[in-house]
Amino acid sequence: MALQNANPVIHERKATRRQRPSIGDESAAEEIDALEVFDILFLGLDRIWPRDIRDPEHPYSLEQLNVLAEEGIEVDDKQSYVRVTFTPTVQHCSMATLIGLCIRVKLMHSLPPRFKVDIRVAPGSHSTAAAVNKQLNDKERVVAAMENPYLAQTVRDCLAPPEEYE
Amino acid sequence: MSYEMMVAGLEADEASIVCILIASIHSGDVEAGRRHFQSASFDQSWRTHVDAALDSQSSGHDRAAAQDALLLLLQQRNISINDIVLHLGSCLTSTDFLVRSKGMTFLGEMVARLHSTRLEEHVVHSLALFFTARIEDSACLHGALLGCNSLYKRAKDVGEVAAQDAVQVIKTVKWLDMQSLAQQDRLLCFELLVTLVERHPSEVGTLGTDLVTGAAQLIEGEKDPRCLLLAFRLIERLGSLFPDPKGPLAQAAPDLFDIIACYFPISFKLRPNDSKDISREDLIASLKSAFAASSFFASECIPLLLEKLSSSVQDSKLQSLEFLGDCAVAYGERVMDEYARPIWVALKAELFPHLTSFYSESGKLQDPEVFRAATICLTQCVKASLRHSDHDGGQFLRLILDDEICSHLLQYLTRKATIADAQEKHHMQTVGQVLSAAARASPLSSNIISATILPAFLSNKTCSDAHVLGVVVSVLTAIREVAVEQVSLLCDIQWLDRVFSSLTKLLLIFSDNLKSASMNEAITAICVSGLQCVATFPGYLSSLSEAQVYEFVSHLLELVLDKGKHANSWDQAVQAVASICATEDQLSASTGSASVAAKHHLLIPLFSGEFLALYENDIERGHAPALQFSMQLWSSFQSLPLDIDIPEEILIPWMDLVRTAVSMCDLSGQEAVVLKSYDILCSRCSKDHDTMDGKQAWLIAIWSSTAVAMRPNIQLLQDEKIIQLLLKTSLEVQSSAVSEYIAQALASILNKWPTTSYPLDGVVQNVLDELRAFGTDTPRLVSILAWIAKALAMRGDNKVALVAGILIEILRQGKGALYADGDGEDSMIRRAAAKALGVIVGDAKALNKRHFATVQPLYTQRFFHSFLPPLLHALRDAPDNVSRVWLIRGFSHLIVNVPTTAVLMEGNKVFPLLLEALSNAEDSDTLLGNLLILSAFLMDEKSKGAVIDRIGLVITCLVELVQYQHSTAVRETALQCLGAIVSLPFASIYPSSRKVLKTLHRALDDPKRSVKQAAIMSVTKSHKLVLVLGSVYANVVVQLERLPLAGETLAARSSSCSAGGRGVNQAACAARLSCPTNLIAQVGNDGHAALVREALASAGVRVDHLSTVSVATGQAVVMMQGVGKTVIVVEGANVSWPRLDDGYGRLQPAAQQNIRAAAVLLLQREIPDAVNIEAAKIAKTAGVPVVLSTGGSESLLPAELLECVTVLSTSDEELARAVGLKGDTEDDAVAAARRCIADMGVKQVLLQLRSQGLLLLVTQDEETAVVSAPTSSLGDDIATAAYAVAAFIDAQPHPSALKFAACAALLCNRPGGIAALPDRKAVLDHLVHHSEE
Repeated sequence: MALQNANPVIHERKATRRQRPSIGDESAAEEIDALEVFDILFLGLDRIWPRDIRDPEHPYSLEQLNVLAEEGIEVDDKQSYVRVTFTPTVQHCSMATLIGLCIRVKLMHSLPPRFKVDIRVAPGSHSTAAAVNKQLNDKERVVAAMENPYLAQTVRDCLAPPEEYE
Repeated sequence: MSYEMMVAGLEADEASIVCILIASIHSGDVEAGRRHFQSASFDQSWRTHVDAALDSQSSGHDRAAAQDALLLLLQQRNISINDIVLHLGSCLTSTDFLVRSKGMTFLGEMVARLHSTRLEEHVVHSLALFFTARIEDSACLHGALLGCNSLYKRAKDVGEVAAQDAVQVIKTVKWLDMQSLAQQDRLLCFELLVTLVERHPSEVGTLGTDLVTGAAQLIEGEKDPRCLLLAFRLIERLGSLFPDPKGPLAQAAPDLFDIIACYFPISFKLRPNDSKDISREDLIASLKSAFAASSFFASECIPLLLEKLSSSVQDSKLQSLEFLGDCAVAYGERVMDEYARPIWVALKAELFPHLTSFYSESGKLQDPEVFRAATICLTQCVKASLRHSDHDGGQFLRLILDDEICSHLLQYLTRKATIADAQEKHHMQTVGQVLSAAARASPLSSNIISATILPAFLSNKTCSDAHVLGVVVSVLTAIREVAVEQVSLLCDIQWLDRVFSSLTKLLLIFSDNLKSASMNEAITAICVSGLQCVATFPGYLSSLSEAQVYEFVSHLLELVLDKGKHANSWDQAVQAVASICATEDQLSASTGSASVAAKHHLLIPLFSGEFLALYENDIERGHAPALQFSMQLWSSFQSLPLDIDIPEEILIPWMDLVRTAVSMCDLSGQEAVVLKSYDILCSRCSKDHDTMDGKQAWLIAIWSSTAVAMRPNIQLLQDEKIIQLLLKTSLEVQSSAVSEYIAQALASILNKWPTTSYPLDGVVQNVLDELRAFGTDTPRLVSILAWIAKALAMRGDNKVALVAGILIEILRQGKGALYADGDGEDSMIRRAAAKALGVIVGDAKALNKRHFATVQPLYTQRFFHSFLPPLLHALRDAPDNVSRVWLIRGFSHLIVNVPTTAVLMEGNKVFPLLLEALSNAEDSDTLLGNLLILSAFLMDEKSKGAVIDRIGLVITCLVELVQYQHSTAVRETALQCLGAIVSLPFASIYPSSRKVLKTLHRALDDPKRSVKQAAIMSVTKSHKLVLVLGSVYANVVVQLERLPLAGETLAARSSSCSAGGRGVNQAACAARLSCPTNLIAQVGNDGHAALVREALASAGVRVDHLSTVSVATGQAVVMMQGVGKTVIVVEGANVSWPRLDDGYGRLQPAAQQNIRAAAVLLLQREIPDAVNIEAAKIAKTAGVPVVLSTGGSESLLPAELLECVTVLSTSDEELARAVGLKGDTEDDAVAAARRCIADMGVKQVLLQLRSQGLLLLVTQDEETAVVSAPTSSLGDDIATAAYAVAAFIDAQPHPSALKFAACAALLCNRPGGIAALPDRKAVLDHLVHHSEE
């Protein structure tokens, strides 16, 4: 299969996980915020491995391809709502759905179940943005997609730790 | 004439003789003179000396001896100089060039040697005239110069030459001719001239132009360094001689400067064999003073220096800067006004090489030496241009302040900006140094600069850039230096008022920055030096209130105490504190106790820091200072009033310090300290020994710290008394922390008690009696008891059992354990007892090797093992639940501090108690400690059995702790433990696995981020992988009418090719059931491999471990004739497993890793048994369940393989044969299955019966059956894989797992190979449908 974007532009990774001091007070809650979601998506847990989502076509992470940036994540912990906006590398990228699916699966595994996850393609970055958005946020279709073994496998590959690829 | 005088009978005196002599020379009447001299011959012996001294035949030694003899005669006034002159007469007037020279030299030398002998004025005068006259005779020149020189140098009291004579000399000598003389004579000339100018400035001054011209003539072209030294000095003198702008020097200045300018810059090197009487530095210094001699040189000198400054030679730059600075100061303000701009431009180029466009490209670095010289020069220039009448500080300073560098700086000062650019940072640093150099010039310049910078800085309170702060600090430092200098000169420092008024604001800015920039090393360093600078401003600290001082000092202290965080600035902070202390010393003592306390507070960490540093480096070296310090400390205690109340926060550091210091002393030192301290203790406490109140407790407390650090072989005086005293103080002292310290001292004394002198048991008994006697049942008492027990446990004394017994009793019975009628809270004393158990095994800072404690190796383990049985016994006999809970709490304190290995060793006994402890914990620290021990149990291979036996309890306990509200760490650790449990063999936890997963998911919503992360980590671990190791075949199916005969070619109706093999089937099935599945198998390098790969990938199997070998991919040619089929099998790659390079295994390391991480491992028999055995062993070790299908081979199952198998999946036809039993009925198979479970180590057997469908045997008796459709080999594999998924991934109980497997097998009987396998949804739908039916 021919690659849809053969020569992607590679951006630099943001260096390391940002240190955030824990709130000293035991009872104080640390709300889930954009940075935390970003960490989940990209850097994951520093204690195990930098578990980041890969572009299905390239061995680079979505951050390196500038598909997903911290600015594209909006979180409202009180309303239990997360909106992730990503930018496919090319207008007609059919991988957009798959990337969105990866993000959704990853967040499903890492966020409390109460969260409603809304995943969107950045306006104007994709030729069929509306269709993709609809597909990504239709629960039934997501479940169905995950039932497809090939798709499920690809998603798993995208979420896998990078070591296995080296 | 003289002859006539003689005839007239006049006695010729010396003067007249010399006059005659001169007259005769002039008149040419040499003959007459000679005759006269001859006639005036007094026959005396000294003449022989003169002759001898002049005799060129005699040796040098003789001549010197003769001179010495004459000198003696002259000094004793036996003869006069006249006599010699008279005797020499003929010689001096001889026409023979050589003789004259010799005579004159002799005379000159003699006069020179008489420099300290008194001579009559007229003699001196006539000699001077004589020598002056003779200078013109080239033969006599040397002697004459020598004589002149010494004459003019004569001090007043031995007869000096009159000033007019000096004038005469200068007039007479033709200086121009002197240039051509030998070096030695030129030197004499210079010397003479310098002497004349120095000795008779006013008279010589009248000569004016003559003198200047003469000097110029003499100097011009001079090359000898020694002469030059004098020449420069001469010019310096001339400069001060003619200050008049219309005077001779002013007119001749350009010419004169031209003559000396060529010597700049000095590049003089002493040759190796030269005498060392001259150096480059001398030359530079004297040339510098020559340059600076007169401001008339300025118009020549400054352009010259600036020109040389622009040269690229470093030495020339340095000298130029040095000269420029000195000249600027010497020339003064008027000249400076004229040249200020060019000088500033030139200096700026040196100070900011990066600003000049010429260098900016090459990125030339600053030369530090040049930079330093330039800053010094700048200071001098500013100083030179200062006008005290003027309030703007002179033109030069104005130039600097008007420069763009200052406006640039002000921009930074007034806005909140951080400088990121490296060059910009460097620039700022340089600006700071330039401004501080300018400020250093004088109070006025300091004042002006501070007025420029500080208001801007103070108005912008948000400035937090290290480099901007750095500028301010360096300027402040300069101002402070000026102020300190002025104070030391007893000058008025009124000018500081303006700076002073802003100091407090500055102090605040620095400390605020220090607080907020705790992580930034650079800012911390700057702020510390800023604080130090502000605080050490003369007289500033004393103007602050006590509270301000205290607050400010405590900031710095925090920094000092927090050594780890600021490793680099620590030294700096200590220095700052030290210098502030020094300033504080100057404060009057009247500032009161708060400042004294602050000071103590200050000094303690400082000293301890120093001590520790010493200790780390060299213990031997630390002895002496430690002793000295301890003694001093005790001396100061002697004088401190007893009734002061020292607060706990000061006393504790003091006690720590004493411990450290005393422990560092050597044996004899400790003896001395103990004697002294004991004396002081006795003398100050003895009077009211019995009625001791809290006031003197501090002294006893500090004494106890001394005792803690003693070596065991030092005898403490009056042991029992001291023990009593310490006990009493420990019980009565107000602060519980201090009480604990004293209890430690008590324990330390008991620990070191010499066994020979006094039986230890008695002492312990005494202590216990004392404790009972005090009658107050306080928790503090229990804590003392704990320390005593620790001391005993450490030295391995069995008396500890007694104390431990008491503690158990307290835990069991509460307050009633010690006395029947004790009062106090029951729970408090029990809590103290529980904690006491932790103290006994915990680490103690007072009882260790450094404090010379007796420590038996592994004493904690010993105590633990010996204490466990009585504790267990007590638990068994616990009268009620409360007692049990307290005993358990004691146990939890105990195990937290015992090494984990010791706890694990007692695993079986301890584990149930640990679980109980986890649900009864009182404080989160102990709880956390216990949880950590639990995690150790979970990690420990040997203890896993004990954990799995109680896995339900463990999970219940952990699920509760995941919601523990009081400690994030507890929740985090509990989640990590759950993560470890999730990784345990699935079968062992499946009853609770749903609960675990639910808990983990709930924890994703924990308020704390770290807990959430731990939850995500554990959830990730719960994503389980199915791993299949097995065979890969390409099935070529051909449809035939009939089988071909030998040699026959037969056309097939059709053919198809698909992937198959048991490994592929099982893997595909698991993947279709939505499990992450991995297949380890081998293929060849051919087309079939690609076919298999694609088929696997489309089914969702990961093929990372599909390795390629150089044998063909396994093939099965299936010849179908209607319903019957014939199969030809090519095993190929499936049976060709090469050994790895290490020669042992056949499985790749990555594959092995995958086996360990898997949730279940599926094996079949289509690959060599050796590979299966290897994989099964790895899986068994890692606790991964193994499912083995017997299909694929008809050989006997190796016992080695069987004992690793968890589930054996087989059919009634295969089983008996596979395990080597006879018979092939279903009953035979069931019996064989029972044998497998009973004898061969298999846990479960999944049996496919021809008639009944699936049968699962879990134990020998328990069996579950499901009616199922007829089986095929594909159905076999599907049933096996589906059962594995249901049982080990979905954790379903046996019956439902079996149902699931049967259903999956039923659904697979559809055409289409692995692509047509049922997915999870289909199976579940069918199951629902089926159950509805």
